[in-house]
Amino acid sequence: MIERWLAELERELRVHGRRRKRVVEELAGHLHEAAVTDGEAGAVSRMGDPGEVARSFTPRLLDRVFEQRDRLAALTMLLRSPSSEIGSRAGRRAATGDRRHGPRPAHSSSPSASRLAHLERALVAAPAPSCRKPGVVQAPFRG
Amino acid sequence: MAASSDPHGQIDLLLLSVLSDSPAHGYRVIERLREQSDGAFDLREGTAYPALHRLERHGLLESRWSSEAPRRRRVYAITAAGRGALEGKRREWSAFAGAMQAVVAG
Repeated sequence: MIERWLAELERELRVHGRRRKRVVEELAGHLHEAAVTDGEAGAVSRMGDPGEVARSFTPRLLDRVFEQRDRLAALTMLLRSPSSEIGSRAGRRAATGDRRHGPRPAHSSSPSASRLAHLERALVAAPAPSCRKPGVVQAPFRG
Repeated sequence: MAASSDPHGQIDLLLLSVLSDSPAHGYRVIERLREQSDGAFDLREGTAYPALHRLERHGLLESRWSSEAPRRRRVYAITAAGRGALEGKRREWSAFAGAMQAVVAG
């Protein structure tokens, strides 16, 4: 019964790679542990519908957008940092006129530098995930 | 009380609270929640894991595999950012509960 539940979960799961392996292993461990006290049927019943559980592991669109934004912001900072290996190598190449490899420096007027600056401005201007009115006690119904 | 998917929408606050004392694996987190609430919060188990993963993605929890016999378990611990978030959520909850009490009690 547990194996059938896990097979159904895997069919519906929309996460990949190491994360997928972890989800399946973690839930399998939980079900086998719960089965010791509740039996397989009880363990599976308490876990809920496998399709629903699988869908709950898919990050919401907004979460994905903000995770992507954080990654891009971190990448931008890394590329712009003069002390970073990538940043300083790119800077040296720019200074010697070598533009064959790697990212261009931030002060370059090249199209990719201006796209990066545009992207950075767009990311900074993006709204915060939650907007609250100051001074209003809001029901904390969502975590 | 029947198993719930998210007791009163407070799953993040509840999970961070039960992990604030010491790290625990998912099964134990759910047990602690049930015990500490005298059975009132009997979380549906398929709800707890996605929430734990989400809190970890947001940097509020961290986790590692524990190889204690008889099987590997993923053990969750609250991070410094998680403690900060927990304090904020506790304050929000207190303000909300106080406001509710004032209205309901008359």
